[in-house]
Amino acid sequence: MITTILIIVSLLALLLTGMPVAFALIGLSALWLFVFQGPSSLFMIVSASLTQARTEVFLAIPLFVLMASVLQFSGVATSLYTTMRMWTGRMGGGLAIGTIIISTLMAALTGIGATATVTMGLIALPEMFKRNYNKPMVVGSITAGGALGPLIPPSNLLIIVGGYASLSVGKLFMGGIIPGLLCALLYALYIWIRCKVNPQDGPPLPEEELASTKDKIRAIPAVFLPICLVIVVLGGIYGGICTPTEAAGFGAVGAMIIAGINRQLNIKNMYESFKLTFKVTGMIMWLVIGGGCYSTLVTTTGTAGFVSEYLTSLPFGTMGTIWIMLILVLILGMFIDPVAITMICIPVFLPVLQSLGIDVLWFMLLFSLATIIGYITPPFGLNIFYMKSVAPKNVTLGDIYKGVIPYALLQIAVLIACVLCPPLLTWLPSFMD
Amino acid sequence: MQSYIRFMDSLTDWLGKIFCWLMLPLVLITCFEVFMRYVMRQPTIWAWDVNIQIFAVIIFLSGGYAMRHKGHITVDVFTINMAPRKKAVLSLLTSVFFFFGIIVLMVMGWEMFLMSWKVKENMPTIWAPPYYWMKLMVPLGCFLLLAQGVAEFFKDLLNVFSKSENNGGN
Amino acid sequence: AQDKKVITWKMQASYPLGTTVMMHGVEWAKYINQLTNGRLKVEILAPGAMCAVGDIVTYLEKGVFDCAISYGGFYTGLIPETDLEIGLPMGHMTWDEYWDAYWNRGLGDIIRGAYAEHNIMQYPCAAGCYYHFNTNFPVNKLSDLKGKKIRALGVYGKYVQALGGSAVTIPGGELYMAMKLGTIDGAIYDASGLQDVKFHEVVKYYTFPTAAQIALSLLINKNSLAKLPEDLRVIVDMGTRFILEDTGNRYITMTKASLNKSVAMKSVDICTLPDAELVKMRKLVKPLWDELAAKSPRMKKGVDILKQQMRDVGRPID
Ligand code: NA
Ligand code: NA
Repeated sequence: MITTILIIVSLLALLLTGMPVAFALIGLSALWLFVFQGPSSLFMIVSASLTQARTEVFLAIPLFVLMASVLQFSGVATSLYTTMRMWTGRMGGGLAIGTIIISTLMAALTGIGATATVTMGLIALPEMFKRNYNKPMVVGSITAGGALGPLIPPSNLLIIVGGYASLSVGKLFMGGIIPGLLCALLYALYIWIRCKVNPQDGPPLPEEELASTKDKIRAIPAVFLPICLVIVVLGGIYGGICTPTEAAGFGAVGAMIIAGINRQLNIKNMYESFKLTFKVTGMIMWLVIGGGCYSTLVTTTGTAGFVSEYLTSLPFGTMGTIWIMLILVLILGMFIDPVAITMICIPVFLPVLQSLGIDVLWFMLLFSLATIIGYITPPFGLNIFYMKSVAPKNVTLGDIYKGVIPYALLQIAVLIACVLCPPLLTWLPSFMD
Repeated sequence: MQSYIRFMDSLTDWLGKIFCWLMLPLVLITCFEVFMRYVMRQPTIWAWDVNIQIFAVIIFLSGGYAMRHKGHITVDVFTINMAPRKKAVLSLLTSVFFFFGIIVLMVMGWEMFLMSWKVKENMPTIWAPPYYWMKLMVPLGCFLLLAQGVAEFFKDLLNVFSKSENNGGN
Repeated sequence: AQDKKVITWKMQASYPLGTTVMMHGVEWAKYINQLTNGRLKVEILAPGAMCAVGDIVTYLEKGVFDCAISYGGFYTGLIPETDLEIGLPMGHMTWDEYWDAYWNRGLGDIIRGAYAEHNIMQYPCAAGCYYHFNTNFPVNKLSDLKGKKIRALGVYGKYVQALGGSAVTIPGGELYMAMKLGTIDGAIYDASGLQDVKFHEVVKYYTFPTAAQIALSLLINKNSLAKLPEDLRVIVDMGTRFILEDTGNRYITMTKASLNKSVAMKSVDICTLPDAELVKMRKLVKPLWDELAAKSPRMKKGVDILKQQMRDVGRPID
């Protein structure tokens, strides 16, 4: 009991000091293992660390990061935006809806949460401001659009969840598609309805700036290639032609080919992509290492068993316990990084799932969905901070907080729908059996 | 102190500039293996073994690089509006946990490497390449991370004690 | 006073606690507790809890925990003799042949000697008596294997290659999918997996006879053993040997039941390699045995013991 409280509270306290999450996890694991299990138990953190390097599916992480970095340097985002602007500009709120569509497509091309937020924040936001779009609405749409990234496959978060919960990453990927598209659809609907009711929130482009049908058709190849890449990568996994890791390798090569077609494949861009990938991989994998150490700590000290017994014994039935776990995740998501939540919660939740007989794949997808909401919930939301860093000076943190709330609520609505209707998550993966 | 910071920052950058190129063989080997399996129907016995070794190098050597470029994720919800000097003091205090954790990982990792080296351990795979180099990555990566961590510690110290808001380096 | 003291050992599992293979560990812990009148308790921790499966021998040597159940195939790079411990392809085919080699012919001394260098006491226990090709194509003769992608580990990977197939190493968790989708054409896998992990749904043919009767190990840190009171030490040492003989027999029964059930469900068909093919196969694996024998004098001694046994039982390798 006291051990459990010490282990959990010390971590939360240390995290809130702003210390890097990875090192807080490693340092505390070492400290508490030494205190509770003696010096020889310190060897455990070496195995916990090295194991991450030996986990085949984690190899997909640097490869997917590389794919995204290469695409980022290849100008794909800009050409996507130009094309989408031609097609949706006529509608009220069309630029914002187009941004959601591009974010969805980019989510299917990249594994991390921030890519779409950063690129759309740089490309689309200035124009929408120029056209007098409603500030909170567009700021929120770009921030939330980025959060589709870890939900729609490929997804580094789902890879990590798969690695920790021993689930098929392919199935998790497929499970993320429907809620991801549902979120995108609801975002777009929300913007559309809002602009129908208040046309001044998203005025259509003036007639003289609209492209001719010929131009619209001519612009299609810019969208065509990225869509091909999505089909190759996800189709390869879904069709069982290759493992997620191998698909990621092909994705990276595919991204280089697209960069080549866009005449952006040169040593300098490759070098920049490699450097960025090296840094991002270091960041993600050290977090995963920290998670491995912490997982060892909570398992061997009996903390996981204690908490899960407590959760299992709650008098609210299986559904009640599921809600409690999800609400816990949502609350943690307001303050802590989603990947860190994954590492803290999975070793504790897994035994609960087993003893209550909850479908692990379904729950882990719900869990991931709830965690991903944390990217956009105030006060601590990674995408919120990325948005702040790329937005013009006149956008305050308060504007972004205000802007993301409707989108976060929509995502929570999708979460509720997935709890009440499990096939939303399990139907697509079931074809892989 | 200043010269140590300069030295470490440039060393870490150089290592990053060199080792980031490992991404290239990682991609190529992955694709080559799929090609061999599907097109040639002759999967290799070495691709996976090589790839996880490359991966281990990337993981453990990238820790210091990510630290130097402020890449590691922090939860700065309560500290984001704090004065830089206060933030540096807090960071100095919490670095105790960083140093303790990474030193433990380094020392224990070194011992694991020695045990593996002593018996010239191979991987338990068909190809069975040496395993100890991969195990060496843990203490080596931790050592570089620690060295960079000391530089960051110095930067915080300079921040606390210097009159201006100079952060001593980059 | 010492009699009253309860000692607790930590055991690192290498398979999920509910699986057939982990029965050895779970039952062993239960019986040891009973035999010692509750004075020795064994706490079993889930796979990966204290260290990864591949690190178990190293960590046991360091005394991070007291005992473990594992499969020697994970440690061939650390202890070459583990290849003899799991059973060589085309070597002993039944558990009594394994038992005979281990306890009567001196194979046990060799394996235990190798583990002793890591400060570990080793006890063998039976794993699958049907450890052979699970495939989506029939295997009635050697040439059927030509060019097929078979998932196999360690020395069994080399076995697949010696027979003309190509060995694929994919993680165990991916087996089901890989088999279903044709990423691989088959796997060398214990027949208990047919029902355990519903492998029968994707496997069409199972090949007789077994490539070998394979074995798992119960490993105990020697210091932990030495620290026990004298009477407990004898109970653990003798008890372990015979508890594992019992759980081994149960394991074999379950493996047979798993295959029979899969056949009865018309989910899996049996192929049988004729004797003439088996003679050819023994010729093909001989270089593999010799390669292992060349590793060290101790390995040569072990391989020689097995070769002599094979001559005695009428399935000579040379
Ligand atoms: Na994605
Ligand atoms: Na949040």
